[in-house]
Amino acid sequence: MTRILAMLGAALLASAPAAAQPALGQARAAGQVGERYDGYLGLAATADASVRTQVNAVNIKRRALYSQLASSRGVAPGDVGLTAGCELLGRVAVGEAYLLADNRWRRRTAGQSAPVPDYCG
Amino acid sequence: MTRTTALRLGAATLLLPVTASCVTVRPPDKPIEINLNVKIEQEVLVRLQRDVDQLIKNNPDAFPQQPEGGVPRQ
Repeated sequence: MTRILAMLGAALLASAPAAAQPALGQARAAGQVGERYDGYLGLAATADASVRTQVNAVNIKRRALYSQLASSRGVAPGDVGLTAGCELLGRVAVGEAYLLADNRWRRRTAGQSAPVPDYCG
Repeated sequence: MTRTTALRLGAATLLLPVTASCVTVRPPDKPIEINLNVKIEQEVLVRLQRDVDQLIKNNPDAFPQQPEGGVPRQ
């Protein structure tokens, strides 16, 4: 019995990393996680710990990339983030959540065009 | 006791017109404008756009695409 339980536990642990990535995609499709105008991912609603961990991991990578590009181009990292935000807001699918600079989460509805702000040009 | 009841009655009478009034919500005629106080130079934005596109394309772990395909949806 103990052996079966141990095997079951091992199987569950082994399947965890494989399930990690789709969780973020699902949370995004469900409107829990969305793109922010500043180029980072954000939580529009409560999400479980694994989703929050993934959001943080993505944002850490993004911050590093933005800082790198900013220093090589002589601009502020925030400007790189905003530029990326423009591109990423253009990819928001119907049903997904997004955050604009007024700090309000919205969801793109059917028939609504991608929520790219005017300053994006 | 009677004074309290009278006070309560008085308060209720005062509140009555408020609670009885009907709230009507009219949709705005003009499209809703969202004021976004974002300060970024257009020149900087244009200059960075190509680099940022490459950055997004070359780092799928930082910019995960949706499962149903990575085509930008307009």
